[in-house]
Amino acid sequence: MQEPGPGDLSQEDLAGFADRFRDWIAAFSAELAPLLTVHSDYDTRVRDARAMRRLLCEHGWGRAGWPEAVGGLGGSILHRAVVTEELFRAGWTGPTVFEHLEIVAPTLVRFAEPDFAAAVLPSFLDGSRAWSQGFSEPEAGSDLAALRTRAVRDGEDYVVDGAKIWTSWSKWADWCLALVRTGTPEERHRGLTMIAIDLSSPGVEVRPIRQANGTDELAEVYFTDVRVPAGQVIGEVGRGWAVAMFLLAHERGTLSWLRHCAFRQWLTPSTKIMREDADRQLGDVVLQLAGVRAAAVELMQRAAAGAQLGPEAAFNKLLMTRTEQNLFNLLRETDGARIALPADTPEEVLQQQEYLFSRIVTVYGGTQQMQLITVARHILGLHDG
Amino acid sequence: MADAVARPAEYVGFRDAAAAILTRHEGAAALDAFGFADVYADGAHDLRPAYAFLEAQGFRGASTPALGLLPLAGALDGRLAGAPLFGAPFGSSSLVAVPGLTPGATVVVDRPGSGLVAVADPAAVTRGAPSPAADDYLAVLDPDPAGLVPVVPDDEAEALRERIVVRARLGAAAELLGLTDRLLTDAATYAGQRQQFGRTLASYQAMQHLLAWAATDRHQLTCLFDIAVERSAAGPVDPELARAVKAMAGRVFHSVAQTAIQVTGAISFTWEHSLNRLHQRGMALDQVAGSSADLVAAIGRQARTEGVIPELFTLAGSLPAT
Ligand SMILES: Cc1cc2nc3c(=O)[nH]c(=O)nc-3n(C[C@H](O)[C@H](O)[C@H](O)COP(=O)(O)OP(=O)(O)OC[C@H]3O[C@@H](n4cnc5c(N)ncnc54)[C@H](O)[C@@H]3O)c2cc1C
Repeated sequence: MQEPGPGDLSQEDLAGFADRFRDWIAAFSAELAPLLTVHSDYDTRVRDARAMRRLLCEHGWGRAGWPEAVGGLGGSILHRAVVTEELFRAGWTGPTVFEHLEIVAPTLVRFAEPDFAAAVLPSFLDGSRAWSQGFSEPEAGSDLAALRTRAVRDGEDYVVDGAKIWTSWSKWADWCLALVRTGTPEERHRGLTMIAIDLSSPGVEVRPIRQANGTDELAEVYFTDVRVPAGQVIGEVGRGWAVAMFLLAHERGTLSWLRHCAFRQWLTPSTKIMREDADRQLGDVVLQLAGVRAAAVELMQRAAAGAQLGPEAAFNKLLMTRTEQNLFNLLRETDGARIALPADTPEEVLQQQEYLFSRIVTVYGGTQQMQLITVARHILGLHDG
Repeated sequence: MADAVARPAEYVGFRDAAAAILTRHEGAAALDAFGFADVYADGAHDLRPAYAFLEAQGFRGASTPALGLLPLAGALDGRLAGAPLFGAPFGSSSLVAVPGLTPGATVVVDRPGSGLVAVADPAAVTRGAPSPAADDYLAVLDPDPAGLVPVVPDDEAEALRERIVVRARLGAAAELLGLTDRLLTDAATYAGQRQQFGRTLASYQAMQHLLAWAATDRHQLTCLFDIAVERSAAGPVDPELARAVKAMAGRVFHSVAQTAIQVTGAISFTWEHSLNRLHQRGMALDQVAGSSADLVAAIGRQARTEGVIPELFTLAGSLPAT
């Protein structure tokens, strides 16, 4: 039998694409099985996530939905969303560091020099190179425009000095997409530039931070006289804020599709041990999941049609994180002892990790308060003062 | 009504046309001006204009029999003269609610075991309120089993039930969405005008957060509702999806109403304030064809007993109708 491939990548045939991918998953169940095995150890999960990307790219599925100019096969974000959902249905626990693919890669496609994008994206898609995102600093949290890491032009290069913190997955990353100051502090967000830094450059030091849930996803990244070719500026000099807003709209919006697929996986097995008196609470969570799903589809359809995502992506982040917390509240109320002290299986450990993580999801990617302010100002037109 | 993101263009065209008509006409005249009966004439199944009309009706707080007509439209094959109104289950009792009931209208209710039956004398069984009601849009009937006239026998009714319930739920959800939108719009406008401590209410972060949550809830309702309504153009809507839409419409309505009341302050707690009638209308609509509380419990019960978290719609199947 011929191997099922991605085939027609028109939007009209999205249902056919989903069918073909399901057929492929069935046909490659033996190859996929080890990559779908649940591990709680993060290094192992990253290793498997890389292998998954490689396998998907070898067979075309990992390149579906990305532009041909960067090593893709064409199609849209909707094709990527189908691949994500079907993998979760098959029992996947998620892409770990390659969650950044949906966040960083569209930004590079949109803003990077075409040659640079074509040079770096194929190795991101196939899992051989990973990216991190360096915005936050010790003194610049919600007030991102206060950041101080500087980049100074010197010949063909920029020289970068400063420190980033909370840089997710940089322990495993080869690149950091960093927001740096090329103007004066008084220029606030108008003095910022986005630049791609090779983390193997001399002068870069990554110091992992042990998270409250035991994983070391987060890190500090120090830059001391790091030389970065000027061709690696992403977007225009002094216009880094617009690039950051584009990226954050993807982090807030498109990520909600991926995360909601994971939420369904978390919730399903727990239904077996829930009691009747939790029906209304469970029903509420199921309904909230439907809301996250519907809002994610709405956003992805606009993105697929070429619309630029804007402040409305805050809706998706607010819905996603509220649902995530309510879902884990329900799991805690259903089986709190195992979440408090997991004992028997990697699934239990993972569940505790995710429970603890769910407590902080209203902070990353812009806090809940910042998202609410975005909706209030930019969508409802409410003004301060 | 300002939509935060573009909703399906055709639907919005119908909705805005209906909203304009509803500023000039009330009741059956508004339905005629919109051509409501044409929507489902000749077995046409694309009911998007009907849902759009109901959303506009909710926003305007207008009263027509549209929601009563929709569930039965085209279902009775001329078994009854005129256009019967559907009496939808109200709360969890045997009461039924009839939207926009006019004297002389025929009311049909579903009585599992007996089939679809007509209420012999709707006026005689309409529940009277002990004091004036804030809103007279919904008439609540307590049908006397002895006064029910068979219309469609139970075995035949079985084939119609699903679509009747889906239409009643999506229709009521459309109206609740319109009401939600109205309450949110009015509250945001008020916050931009009223001053306390020398500043507008809108300038306070506490008020901004309340309204932003309301807008977020309204957004998720809109997204889920639009998916269901777009699908209705292509064929029958999955009853589980319609149930979720109705449940969410009720949930979101109540939370947005609470926000609107909080933002508006004491003036909102007056009989005359526009919010009062809209709020009470939404409270009643939430009870029509399954309350959000009951539907949410049913959704949870099904998920628990079947061990499945429903997806409700597929990605490919949720692309807008072309
Ligand atoms: C798991 C995780 C992953 C992350 N990954 C990355 C990453 O990959 N790259 C990156 O650059 N950063 C990352 N971050 C950092 C994240 O973006 C910041 O934590 C976030 O922007 C908030 O900054 P802060 O933690 O310094 O909190 P602060 O800004 O100090 O805020 C503390 C509290 O005060 C509130 N607050 C602050 N200002 C106001 C105001 N004006 N009005 C009302 N309330 C206010 C906040 O909402 C919050 O509740 C990550 C964070 C987490 C938790």
